[in-house]
Amino acid sequence: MQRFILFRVGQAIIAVLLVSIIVFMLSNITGDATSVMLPMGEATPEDIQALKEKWGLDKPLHLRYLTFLGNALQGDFGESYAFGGQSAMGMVLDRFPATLQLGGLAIVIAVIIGVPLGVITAARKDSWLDYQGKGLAFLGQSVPSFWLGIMLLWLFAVKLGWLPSSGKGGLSHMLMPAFTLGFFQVAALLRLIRSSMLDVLDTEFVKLARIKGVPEWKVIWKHCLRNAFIAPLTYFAIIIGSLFTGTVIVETVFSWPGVGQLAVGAVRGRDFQVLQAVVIVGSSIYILSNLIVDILYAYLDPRIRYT
Amino acid sequence: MAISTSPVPAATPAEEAEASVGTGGKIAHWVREVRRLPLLPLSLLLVFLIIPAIFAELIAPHNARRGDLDDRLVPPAWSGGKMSVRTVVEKVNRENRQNEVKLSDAERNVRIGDASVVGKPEGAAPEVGDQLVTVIKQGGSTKYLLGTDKNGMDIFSRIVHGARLALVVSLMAIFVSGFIGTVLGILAGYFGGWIDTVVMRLVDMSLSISLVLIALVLAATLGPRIENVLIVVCLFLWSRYARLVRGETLALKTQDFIARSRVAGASQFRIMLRHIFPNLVNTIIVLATLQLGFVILLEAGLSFLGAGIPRPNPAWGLMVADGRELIIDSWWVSFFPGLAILFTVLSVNLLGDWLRDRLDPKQRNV
Amino acid sequence: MASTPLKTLLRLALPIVLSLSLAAALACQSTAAPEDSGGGAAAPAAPASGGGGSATAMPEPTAMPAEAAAESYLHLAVTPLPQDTFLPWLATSSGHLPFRPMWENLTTISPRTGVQTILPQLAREWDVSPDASEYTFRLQEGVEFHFGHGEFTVDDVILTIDQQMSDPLAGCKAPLKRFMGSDSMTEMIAAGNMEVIDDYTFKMKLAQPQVDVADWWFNILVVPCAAVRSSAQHAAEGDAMFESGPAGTGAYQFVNRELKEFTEYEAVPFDHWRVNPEFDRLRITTAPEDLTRLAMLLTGEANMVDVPKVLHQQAIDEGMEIFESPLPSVGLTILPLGQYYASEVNWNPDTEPWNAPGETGALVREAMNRAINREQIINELFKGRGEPMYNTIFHDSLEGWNQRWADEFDEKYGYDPERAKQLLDEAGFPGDNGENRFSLEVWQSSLPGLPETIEVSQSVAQAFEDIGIDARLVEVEFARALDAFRDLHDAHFVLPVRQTIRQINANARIYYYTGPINPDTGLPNGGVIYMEDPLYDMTYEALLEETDQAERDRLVRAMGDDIYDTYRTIPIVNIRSTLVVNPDEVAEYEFGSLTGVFGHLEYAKAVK
Repeated sequence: MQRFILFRVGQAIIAVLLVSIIVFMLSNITGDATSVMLPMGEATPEDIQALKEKWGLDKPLHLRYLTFLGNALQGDFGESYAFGGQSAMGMVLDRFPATLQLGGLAIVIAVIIGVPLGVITAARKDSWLDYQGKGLAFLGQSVPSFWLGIMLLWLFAVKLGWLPSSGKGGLSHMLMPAFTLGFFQVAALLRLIRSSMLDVLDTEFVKLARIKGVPEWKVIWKHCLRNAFIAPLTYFAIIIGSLFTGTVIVETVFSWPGVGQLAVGAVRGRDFQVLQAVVIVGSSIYILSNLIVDILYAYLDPRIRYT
Repeated sequence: MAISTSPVPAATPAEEAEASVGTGGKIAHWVREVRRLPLLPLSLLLVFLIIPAIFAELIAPHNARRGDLDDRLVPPAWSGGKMSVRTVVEKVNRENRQNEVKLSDAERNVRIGDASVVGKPEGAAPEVGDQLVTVIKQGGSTKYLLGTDKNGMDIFSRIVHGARLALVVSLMAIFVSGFIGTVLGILAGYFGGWIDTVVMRLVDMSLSISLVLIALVLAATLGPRIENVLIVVCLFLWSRYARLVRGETLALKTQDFIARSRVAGASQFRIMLRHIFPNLVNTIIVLATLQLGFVILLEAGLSFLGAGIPRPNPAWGLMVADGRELIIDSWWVSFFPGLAILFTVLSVNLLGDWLRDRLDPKQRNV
Repeated sequence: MASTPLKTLLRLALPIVLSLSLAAALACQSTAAPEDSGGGAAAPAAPASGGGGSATAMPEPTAMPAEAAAESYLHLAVTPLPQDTFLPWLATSSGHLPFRPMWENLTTISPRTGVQTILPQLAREWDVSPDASEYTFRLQEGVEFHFGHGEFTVDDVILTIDQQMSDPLAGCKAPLKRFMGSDSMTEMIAAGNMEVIDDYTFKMKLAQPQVDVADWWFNILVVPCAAVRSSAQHAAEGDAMFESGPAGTGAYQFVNRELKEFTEYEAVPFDHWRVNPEFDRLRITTAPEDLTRLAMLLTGEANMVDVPKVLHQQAIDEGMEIFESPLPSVGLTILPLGQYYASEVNWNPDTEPWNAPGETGALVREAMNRAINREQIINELFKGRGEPMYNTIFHDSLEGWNQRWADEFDEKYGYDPERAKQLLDEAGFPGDNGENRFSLEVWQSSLPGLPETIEVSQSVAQAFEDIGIDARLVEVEFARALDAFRDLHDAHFVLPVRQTIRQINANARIYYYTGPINPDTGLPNGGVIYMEDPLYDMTYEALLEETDQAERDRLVRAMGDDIYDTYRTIPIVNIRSTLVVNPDEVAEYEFGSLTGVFGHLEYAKAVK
């Protein structure tokens, strides 16, 4: 077990390094930052040279990467160009709570809708309800979230005026973005719970419980569900991953001031310091959650450890 | 993401039993065969993706990359015609907005160019108390079936050409990543050892990198390009194939027929190509179909964010993005392309689900 | 799965209905939320930091100003500017606008007549010696800084200039150094080139004559770096002053800001020396999505928003009004890049015929100009809220204007695709059957404050195609185009740019001035370069020192004639700024002529 954990941790570190290399190379091969940062029409070549020296841009690429890495390890990604003097890392951290809130509510919505539906559809396999659940699952995985978001915005904010359109505020501000974000997860969770419930329902242990005369609702909601939860755990990492993808889009649609919106803004403004910080911090969290799930799963089910 | 990885508990094909029974002539046989096909997803797929993609030039009435500024934001053909409204001028606005008047019926400002004054020559300046005839909304015309966007481009033609773009981009991505993934997967599974270790570590790596973030960096550095979409999708997808193919190869390797051909002196390359690969085809086809919907969604999402296919290409995601701001008055601009994405992906997913049941039930729990 | 399509369809259709009704149910539950949370929707309009108490009583956000006890709010929602920084010297002239309400400068411009009329602000008056080398400024007395940082004096001017000149990133450092001849005002004083006569008077002797020190470099509206900061605050807090809330002298003082989200101000608690604003509080929110801003207006979250003109009708239909600036604030012009004649940098006659020196290039550029239907662009894309631009950087409100440019425009630049094709034939690019005469790239990028640029680029590319040029659209970030600008060898494409209507000097420097070639790099010493011509360089340098207005007019006109007659650019349109406002809350608004939608916010009038 220890060896496995060490091995997975090492692998995760290499993955983070790989991301940092990709990001660093990409943001350095195309032009250099000085021309972006200097105001149009006013800078002389001497100014540009001075800046290059100030930021070490006159050094070879691999040295600059090492410097970058060293600073990044201390949480220093440099200063945002578009927001003079602001630390890029600080901006990312400022935005994180908003994204977590949204992602958290999305997961809550996904669980509230997805888990019961998964259980019910499994309990009533091949029934009318099961087909509806299946249809919902297909729909959830096929609807483009940006489009769903726009349609919700149009319906509930513009036409009906029930919900605020955008920005940060109370729960009402979060409902539409969180639902848009969670809809895909509803589908995924529904299918996961359903299939793993079906497996559990098939086991001797359930048959035994039924023979013993345990009420059906108790069999399903207590005995089965508890066991059915283990399998979906592996997919938790995937859910986090798609939440990450989703937040970038949903935050853009609803102007939610989170990390995703920051990243898109940084792309538009070519604010590389901020972009590097977002991508590396974001990827690290993603990799870390993968790591935790792997270790947790290996702990719960020792068979999978070395496959 | 979950498309490929979540187990899909599908209804057990009930027709397995009846298939062996019938011998009521060839026609009846074929009728059954056809009835067994997933007609809904197939027909949706044909209508929304394949037919438009192949016959785009024949179907699309207009050029998908050019528009006529005189026909901006024309509504769909079936929506109402022109409406002329007669109203009284309540006040003529201040000098900095001298070309506007305020009407009495609603809080509407009307530009003088858009209205004519009753009983006055064309172009005369209205005064308070005058009656104005204004055209409230221009109706749709059959010229533009689904209306036009803000560049005056025909939405129907763009959706049709967009189908080709979506199909080509996603097929290319799936083909390239499928090829890389299959080759690496077979090699890893067949040879094992350090090749296996290296490939599987790369697979783990690729699975743990967030795709959209890399796509955003690419867009910031290189600008939105079709190549970016391909790179990002391939970076992500190949590992799925590699992992699956490796597992299957491991299982196949131990089977008798492989051992027999090895004894018969077949080269390793030949064994992999002629004996192992054919046994993997079903698996690969099923995975590819299941991935298709995901890739179309991903491409649309990237284009929506401005990190995918550049303008003026008729990418569906881009069209939704361009119509987003106009949703209040001109809902059709982003509604229809979004619908096209929805139906296409839905039908691809249904088809993939059906294929999985038919060809490779093992993957149900992948 | 052996089901008929209809059955499957029914099975799938129900979940759609189901999910929609689910969403509706969710939405129903949440309708209670805004009321519970004390105007959750209205929160931005009256945050807890302000008069939070009054907000709870509001039945609906639109009723906000009707509340007697409520503070009146001017809530402006705009597109995010490329920058959001409180360090004035790092801001571009558009990037500083969100923080402008708290600051003032020595001079300003008239919102009605534009940059030609320079008005005194913190400088009461100034004298310039006839050779433009000596300036004496007399400052306004009795002006108070915010937060009790004392009275405005000459020390604050010195701090302001010195502070920005210590940062190599500062936009105005190089040009200021050029005429000051020193790295700071303190140095100038030490060298005896500047004299502080008393707290309210100072005299500068310039190293090089410069005519536009007061008009331009010390003008808040055009050059943000010289926004006057408080030396008392700097002495107390150092550079941290920008974090804690900088003190200015404007009619609004800083309250709070959230990067990239909003900046909030309140009217100063004392009688302001210039104007006491009608709105008690001012909030500038940035929201990147157009629809979001429009929805903010329609739901009463904001009462004044900046949206693309294509959205205007939607707002008017909902009872909103459009305010329009009296003068155009920005222009859109298209630059055929790569006209390097002085240094004979490579141009390829086959691939870039528009860059050919002499007659050929001019013919090709005339054809490109004539391919474009400007009237359609102005009427359709800008909803008629613009006027034709006759000559890039020139305007009839600026010096050196030549009426001939407007009068002859139809004849020389008018839309005529047939004539354009003829011209290309004449120039020697007949193509095969009039198709693919040559190919060019139109780089398109979304320009801040000018969302229509993308559509204009598309329609221009289409117009080029119509006359047989193979035009390819390339979507890039504007910053990338700037990269290409800086390297002569890269700038060989057609680029739409946003042009601010401002003093000829300033724009000539950006658009037409090459400067001396740097022997080390082989590149010109100026900044952004896409065009070289000794005449333009000479004119620009002469304009820096020429004080006689008649002579200036002559110089400008001669340069303008050459640019106009040789079709150096493809001028498109000058656009009037528009804001969509809630007529129940905002009665009047003064646009700045050059600052787009950010006008003189302190002069906005509330509906009583």
